Amino acid sequence: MEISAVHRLPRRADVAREQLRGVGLALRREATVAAGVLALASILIVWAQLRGEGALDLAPEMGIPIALLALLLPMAVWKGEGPASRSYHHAMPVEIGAHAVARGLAGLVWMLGAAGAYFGWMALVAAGTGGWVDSEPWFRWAGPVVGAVALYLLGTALALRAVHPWRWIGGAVVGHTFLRALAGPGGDMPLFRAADRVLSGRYGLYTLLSGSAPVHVHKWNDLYGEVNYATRVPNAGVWMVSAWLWIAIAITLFFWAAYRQPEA
Amino acid sequence: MTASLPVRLDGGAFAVSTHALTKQFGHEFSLLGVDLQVPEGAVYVLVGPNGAGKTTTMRLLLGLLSPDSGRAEVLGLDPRAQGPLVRAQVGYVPERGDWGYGYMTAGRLLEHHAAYFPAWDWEYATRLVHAFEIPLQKRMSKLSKGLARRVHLLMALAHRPPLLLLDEPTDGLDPVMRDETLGMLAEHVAETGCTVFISTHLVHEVDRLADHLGVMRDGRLTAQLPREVLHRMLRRYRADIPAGWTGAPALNGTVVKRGGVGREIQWSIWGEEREVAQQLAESGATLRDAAPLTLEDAAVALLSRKE
Repeated sequence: MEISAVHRLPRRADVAREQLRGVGLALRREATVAAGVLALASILIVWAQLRGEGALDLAPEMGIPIALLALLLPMAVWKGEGPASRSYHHAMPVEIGAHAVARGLAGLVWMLGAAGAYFGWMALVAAGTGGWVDSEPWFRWAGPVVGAVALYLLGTALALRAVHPWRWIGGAVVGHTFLRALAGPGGDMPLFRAADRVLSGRYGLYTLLSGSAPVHVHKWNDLYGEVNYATRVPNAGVWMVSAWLWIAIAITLFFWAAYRQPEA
Repeated sequence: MTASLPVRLDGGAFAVSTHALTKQFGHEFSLLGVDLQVPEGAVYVLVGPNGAGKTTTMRLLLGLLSPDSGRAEVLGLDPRAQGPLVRAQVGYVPERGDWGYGYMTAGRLLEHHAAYFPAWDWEYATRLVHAFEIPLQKRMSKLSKGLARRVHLLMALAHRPPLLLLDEPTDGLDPVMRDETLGMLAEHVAETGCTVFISTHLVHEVDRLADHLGVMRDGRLTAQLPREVLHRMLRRYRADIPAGWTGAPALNGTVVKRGGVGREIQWSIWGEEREVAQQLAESGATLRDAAPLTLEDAAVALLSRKE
């Protein structure tokens, strides 16, 4: 038969704008809870200041919780739109992979906005209490933000591919804890060492988030003799490699999950 | 005489057609070699029990799933390659009741939906909102099943698509609302001349709309025909039979459903009435009457037919 496509497709800009607005609505409850927590924290800080407590310093590590929350945010962005369900989102007149990318990126914009608001609040707290802002080196501040982007994209890939993403996250946490217990204080177990390398190795997650790379220190101490211990020091080169590595993996998995959604 | 039920429609232009469409999930076939033909402007009702493959068929037609083999054509478009364009031409009501976003109000969901369909007609949508009595300020997750269903129908109708794909569209509606909704649907069809493809297992609810019937069982399309052919060819015959009656061997293969009480048989038989009456008479049975079946009875008879 003749092709009788009488209706045209929506414009990309309309889809992007609608996704941004729609995801904003989807995250309203989470945003309200976060705002409530910050309001409560603000009240406690004011109360502490009135009682003469000291200044609150602002350090980059305070952004790490935001990055970890970014891993969970996609579950809220995609609630009710699980993979394989061929749900409402899929049935729109937009290519399925591109539409998933649009929604994922809309969530990323909101996540970055939330991170900005959080850092702004921290800066206000530091300024208001006469605290000190730890501003050097710069990449320690970039760590939580880049880490949040990478973890958000990884979380999105999980939300798009896994039918029960919470179980995967919970399973990973429980599994790591279990391995740690099995490995004992020395951590002498290949599987645990591999998992630990991903989290706190030279290019691991903690390096990405904190900008500090692990180093082993050998020192001669007059009292105790030779002392060996591990510590972390800021390292721009290692952080950059770590950032590129994590972002590359996250973007690859994000696009793979968006364009290869399972059927059921 | 054998009853070979029609599975192909003659000539004409088809809004939807499939050729040997097959879909497998794991080791199980959901669809197996389905040749669907929905004429342009028709109201085609696909009946089948739960799990027959009706929803899978709809999803394949929308390009939401890819077939393992075979092909489909929707309004001249290939859903596999042109899924977005197909979905732009279609008003779709899925089987699931949680369609849309539960966190949005009904009004906001309509706005969201409208953004994806440039042809969205707000005037018509507003008329439907009033007719369906949709509370625009209420969240979708708080709506009753029936109200949510009405929102879904509105979303399918308001961009005046040339093709409606309705998967169990009356599910969850109370009798009054079902009647009103089907009335609105009939008006919409009359006004727009669109093609409607309805999948249901509650045939009586769409009886007044249907002009074509497809019967699906275990992933196969076992019959497909216009309603007037069904009306003419499939009839219920009531006949008195003598003691020791051994049946009507000439009718083997044409009897779609057998029933009866005592010395009276009530058989649903596929064939020209004159020929069937003659075969019954030759077998010794006395024909009392032959009547066409309602769409639902016909569907039940065709679904319960033993191969």
